[in-house]
Amino acid sequence: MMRVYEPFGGPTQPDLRTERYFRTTTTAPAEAPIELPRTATETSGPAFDTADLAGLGLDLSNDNKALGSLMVVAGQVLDEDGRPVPNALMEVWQANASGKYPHAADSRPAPQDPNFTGAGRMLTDADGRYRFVTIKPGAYPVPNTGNWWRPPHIHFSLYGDSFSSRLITQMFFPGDPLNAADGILQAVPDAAARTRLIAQPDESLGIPEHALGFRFDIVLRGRNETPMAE
Amino acid sequence: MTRPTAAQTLGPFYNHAFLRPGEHDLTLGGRHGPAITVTGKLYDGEGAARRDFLMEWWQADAAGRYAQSADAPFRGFGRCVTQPDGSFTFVTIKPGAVRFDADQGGNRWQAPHAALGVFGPGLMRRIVTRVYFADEDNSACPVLGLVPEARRGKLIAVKEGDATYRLNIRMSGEGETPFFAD
Repeated sequence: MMRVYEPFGGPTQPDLRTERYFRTTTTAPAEAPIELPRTATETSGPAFDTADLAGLGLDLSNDNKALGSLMVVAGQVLDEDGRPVPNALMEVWQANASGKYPHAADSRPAPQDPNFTGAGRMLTDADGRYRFVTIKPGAYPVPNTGNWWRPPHIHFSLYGDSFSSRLITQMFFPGDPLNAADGILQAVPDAAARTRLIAQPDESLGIPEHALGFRFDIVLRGRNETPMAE
Repeated sequence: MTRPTAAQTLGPFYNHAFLRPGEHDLTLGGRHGPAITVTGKLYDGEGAARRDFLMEWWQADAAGRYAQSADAPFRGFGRCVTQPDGSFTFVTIKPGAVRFDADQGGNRWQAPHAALGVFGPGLMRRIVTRVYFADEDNSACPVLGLVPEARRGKLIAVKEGDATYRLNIRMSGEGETPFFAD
């Protein structure tokens, strides 16, 4: 059966040029993208296995030594038909509890946490499920914007079943007052699509008296072509 | 049917811990053709070279076939982060021509190429382009043919020396690289 990948865009995706995120004015192409039929180049994609996980695991809290609220984040990776996407390589990264990234370019005078590297890598299981342990990231200000603060968020990078299903996104936390003013989350025009970027609290995913639980499901591009009626 | 999750920007603080040494070198699993180097610089709409952008490379093997599994002899995938001077480099082999399957049984072929995805701070989602090679016959490629003729050259890497190709990517503005619908 043919896999169908519709072009990215429309109200459920952020516009490349986003007024509230000043950097986009120099990076968003001015010309309209050139439409192309999806060829083998776009409908195939890299495959990964456990050898690719090298060195990065599922516990960003470093066995509970990192500072911050311990939490479990878990969910399912699905395609547009709701079918699980197994063996998807997933990489997650985030700021520490002070809102500081372990990155040389993060020059804000907030403390690093020597027990927090802020990076995890995993493969989804046969049912498309994933689970990792981390601490809740802090908010941080965006330079040269007045006083816009990014709400707490975790970056997710996923390789699905093809070059076309590649996704990089961010997961947000429910009820955070900074969500409504975030120029990046709000760059997604469709309210329901923004809501889908917000994790849901789920006690059953947490660890009693130890870790909070959040559920975050992800839908990657790709569905099976609807058979034509004969 | 559900809608795909919304993309969000890579941001400026992509964790370099993800990049193991050699991820830009597609030949590390064994060479299946003469090694070539493809290098260039990434520029923004003001002509400034941009660092810390994530570049991803996807190509067929020398016979024009895409790898189906992680243990394929040639996996065809590489990635790198642009350097402080905006430069990127991939080491690979020349891909073969790829059948143009959109023809539904026709017999047209895409000229040897790689797909190139770019993520970065200031890009709300990926932008996608292709890299072709100046020493191949690109005249009949049905995908390159979709690009206005005056802009096609911006997708074709120029040969420099025996095994090095150069192609700069301009994300926006004057001399903008042609990007395809993602």
